[in-house]
Amino acid sequence: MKKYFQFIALIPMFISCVKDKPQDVLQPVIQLTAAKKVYVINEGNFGSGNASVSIFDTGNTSVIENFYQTQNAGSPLVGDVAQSLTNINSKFYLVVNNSGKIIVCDAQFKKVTQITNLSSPRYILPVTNQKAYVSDYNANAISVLDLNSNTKTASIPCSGWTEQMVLIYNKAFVTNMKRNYTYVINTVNDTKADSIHVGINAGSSVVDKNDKVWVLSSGDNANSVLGKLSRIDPVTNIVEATYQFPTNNSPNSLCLNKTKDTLYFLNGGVFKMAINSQALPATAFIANGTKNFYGLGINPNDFSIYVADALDYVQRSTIYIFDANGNQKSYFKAGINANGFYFE
Amino acid sequence: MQHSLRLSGCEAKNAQKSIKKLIKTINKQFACGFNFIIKLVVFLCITSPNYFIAQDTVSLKGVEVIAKKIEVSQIGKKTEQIDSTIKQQFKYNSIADVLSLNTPIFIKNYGPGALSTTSFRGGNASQTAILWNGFNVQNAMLGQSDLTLMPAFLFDNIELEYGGSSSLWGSGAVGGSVHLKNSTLFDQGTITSVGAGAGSFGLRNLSTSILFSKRRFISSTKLYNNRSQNNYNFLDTADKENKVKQQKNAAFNFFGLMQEFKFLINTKQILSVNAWVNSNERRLPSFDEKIESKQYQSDAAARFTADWNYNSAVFRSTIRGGFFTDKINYTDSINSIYSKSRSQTIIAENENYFNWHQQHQLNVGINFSSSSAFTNNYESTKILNRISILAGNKFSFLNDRLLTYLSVRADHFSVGTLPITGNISSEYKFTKSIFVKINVAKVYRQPTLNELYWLPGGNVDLKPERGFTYEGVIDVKHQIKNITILLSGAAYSRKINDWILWVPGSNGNPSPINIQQVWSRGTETTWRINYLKNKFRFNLNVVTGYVLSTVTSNEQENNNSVNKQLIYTPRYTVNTTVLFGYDKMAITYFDQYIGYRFTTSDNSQWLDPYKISSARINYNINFKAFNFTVFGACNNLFNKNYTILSGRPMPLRNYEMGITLLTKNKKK
Repeated sequence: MKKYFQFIALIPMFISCVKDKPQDVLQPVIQLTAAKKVYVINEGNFGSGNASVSIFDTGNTSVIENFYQTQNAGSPLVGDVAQSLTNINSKFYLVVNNSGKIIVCDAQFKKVTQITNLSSPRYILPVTNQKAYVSDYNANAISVLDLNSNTKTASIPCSGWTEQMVLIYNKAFVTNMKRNYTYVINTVNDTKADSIHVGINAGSSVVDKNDKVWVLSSGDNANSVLGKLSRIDPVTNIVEATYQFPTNNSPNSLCLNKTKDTLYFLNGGVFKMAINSQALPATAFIANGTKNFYGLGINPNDFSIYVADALDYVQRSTIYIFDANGNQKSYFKAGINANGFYFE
Repeated sequence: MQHSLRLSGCEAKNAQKSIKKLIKTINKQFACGFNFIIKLVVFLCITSPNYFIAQDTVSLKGVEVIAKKIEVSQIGKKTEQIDSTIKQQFKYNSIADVLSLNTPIFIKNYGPGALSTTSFRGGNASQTAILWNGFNVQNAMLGQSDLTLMPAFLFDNIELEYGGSSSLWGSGAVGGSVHLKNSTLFDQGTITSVGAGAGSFGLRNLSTSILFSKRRFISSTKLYNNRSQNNYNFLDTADKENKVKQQKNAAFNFFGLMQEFKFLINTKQILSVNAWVNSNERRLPSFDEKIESKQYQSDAAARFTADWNYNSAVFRSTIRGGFFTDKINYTDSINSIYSKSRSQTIIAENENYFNWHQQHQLNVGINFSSSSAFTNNYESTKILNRISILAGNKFSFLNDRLLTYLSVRADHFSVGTLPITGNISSEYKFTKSIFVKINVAKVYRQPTLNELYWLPGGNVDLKPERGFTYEGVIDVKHQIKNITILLSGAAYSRKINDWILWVPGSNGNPSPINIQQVWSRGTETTWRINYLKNKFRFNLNVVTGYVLSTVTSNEQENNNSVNKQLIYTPRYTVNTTVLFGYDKMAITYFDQYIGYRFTTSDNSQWLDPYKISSARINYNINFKAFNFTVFGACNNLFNKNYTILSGRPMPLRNYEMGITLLTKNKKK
């Protein structure tokens, strides 16, 4: 008996309670209403190919995650690092950074075609109905797209990591993360026309109601370079006003409200600043607490503020919706590392 | 996507040029290395004609105190030593390969030649202590070691100590400890060996070792070079037209030297001086084969230690010192990232063992360590100092059938405080064949230099990760004639508080914060059957691991990781080894199952399990004064497509082979 006891004593070691195969999350069948939708761009994890797009129905507050996969059963993967989503001529242009491609979808988000031979595309700016510019992380150039054929037709040399772009008076203002300058491109002849000193790590830009261009630079904490917000006169290409951030701040994600008179940006929390303000806001409009605010969007339809919380970067994001006064209305779950929104 | 960018375009171009130059220089240096090795070996073979192969067992009693420390630390714990035949079959492989296929440690490997770190009992890489002759060799900035850069060939013994031992091995000995040991014996004569190996995708290995083992003096020199084009094929299941892809920009070239000197001063004193130097160059592939990668990493380390050991019947003492430097340069010329980091650690320690009573052995020790580091991402050179004192007592009762060890450690840390740790462990010999072991320990991991000082985000207010671990082991050993059976079962539970995660700080920069509590628990089993008759040997070894490592609390709002398994921590692992040996030949079949690994902390995404097999064979030939060992291996025998980590494809079937020539010359 003693012999057997030895083996019996070992039995508890082999009992395990958790089934190894994980359960797939059940996606309930969701009926979308006719109300406006919010598209959430989810980067996914760099190198993991798990980028996705979620869609939020403002009518019944339902969410469809992996919306691209749902609409495109044949080719279900978005790719690696979805960076931005832009609607041009009723088509969606989904820029997938680390896959070096732009997926073109119709209004139902069904894939029409894709634009390849891009290096590491970031944002797309429609210049005319026929032409768009694509900024790039490492091409040292802006790609020019023909929107009719959806192909790359040319590139404009532009050193550094180019990021968001705005268009005004036949000029494209191109922010740059690696250079201290925002480049000005003449959109008539697709050539670089000027450069404007705005500081390092500038990635976001808007045009306000007075037709002024605002550029937000994050600075460089490791080298003690302060971040700053610059207001540019697009006629003269001159910086009219700069607002300097304190040390160790990394402001980013500059946005504008519907009436184009109030700026919003992330700097830990969400900050709000009137375009005619003389100074940077001292405190956050919406504090972040333990939240990891990673993406910001202002709904042009109702002034509501959408903020993406990436949490620990390796789980599904939480999207918080605040009203214009900064009161939280609701939240929903989206894909991994949501970095921005497209509002219908 | 988060990027850190620092330099201008002009510098980028210059850097590309300088990398090319660097590679040329390295190639030159390696060429010198090869010539040197070949010349050295020819010289040694010529000068050592009196070949002597018989195994000698002139062993002076193990007088090193470090052996003593391992002995006390292993009371009440599950321990394992890698079989010497298996170790020989992995001669050209890294410690990562050895541990992955033979133990329940999950090795997070980014691909052949790329980074390998451990997940031991559900902990992360910095919660495993990697100890070389008792010295913790982790990089002071990262708090972890890259096991790919540690060839198995350098060490005489690879031992595993499961479970927490912070009070003895200090910070990081949370999930367990891996002991890499050099244990050369005196009076062995002169043994020289040279080995050359080759494998798929341009793999080339070269190694040599020379041991002069006299009555009072030992010199052991080991040199190696492992390199590969590493342009292996893998399957890309997402690409339906072109499934078979070739890995690009993954070449590596590793070079290293280990030197040991040991002096037997008199019957009571030994002095030893060791050096371990390596230089490792590797290219890092991009995630997508369509995108060019110019990522390049160079890791170099120099580690020097000196020990003085005193040993008498009632008192043992050691005074030891170590000096370790690490250099990691990472370059991504496309993205203008030129990161350089240097760190160094100085360790000085004294340990004493008193047999003050027949049944008691008291030990006291003091350890001082100072780490400093500099990188472009620190404001200035940063220094961490730590002084620890340790006291313990080993009790033996019932004619040594019951052993108990109790220890307490107190640390003073230059940044913040470290907890007082301790452990109590016991093992009881139930019957001739049954052992029961228990261990309760308080464990900790101190914040690393990067966690404290990285700019932006470093957090000097970090507390150490700490918690309690409880474990129990039953070992059953049975011998029936030629058959030896070993069954071992272990169960453990460990809760770690103040688990550090990088989440955003107040101004949006990711910053490490003590934010989580993690509960790891699980079981491990070992099933071993040995059959030995005359020249025939059969060995079956099944090692299983079951790990639940879940977040029990997280301070972030709406964080869905609570009650979810940690990422890249498989719940199930099974390693099976079947060895047949006949006379001078041994063939081993390895089979590995790794269960689901979650890739997101809310467990919404995962990687499928994989089961891969490999076979290794070695054969010894005696020819006059020489002993040849021929070795061959086939990895991924069944050509499975698998990834250990997301987006990091592993090679399809591939081969290795090699030959080692050994001569032994005994002169009294």
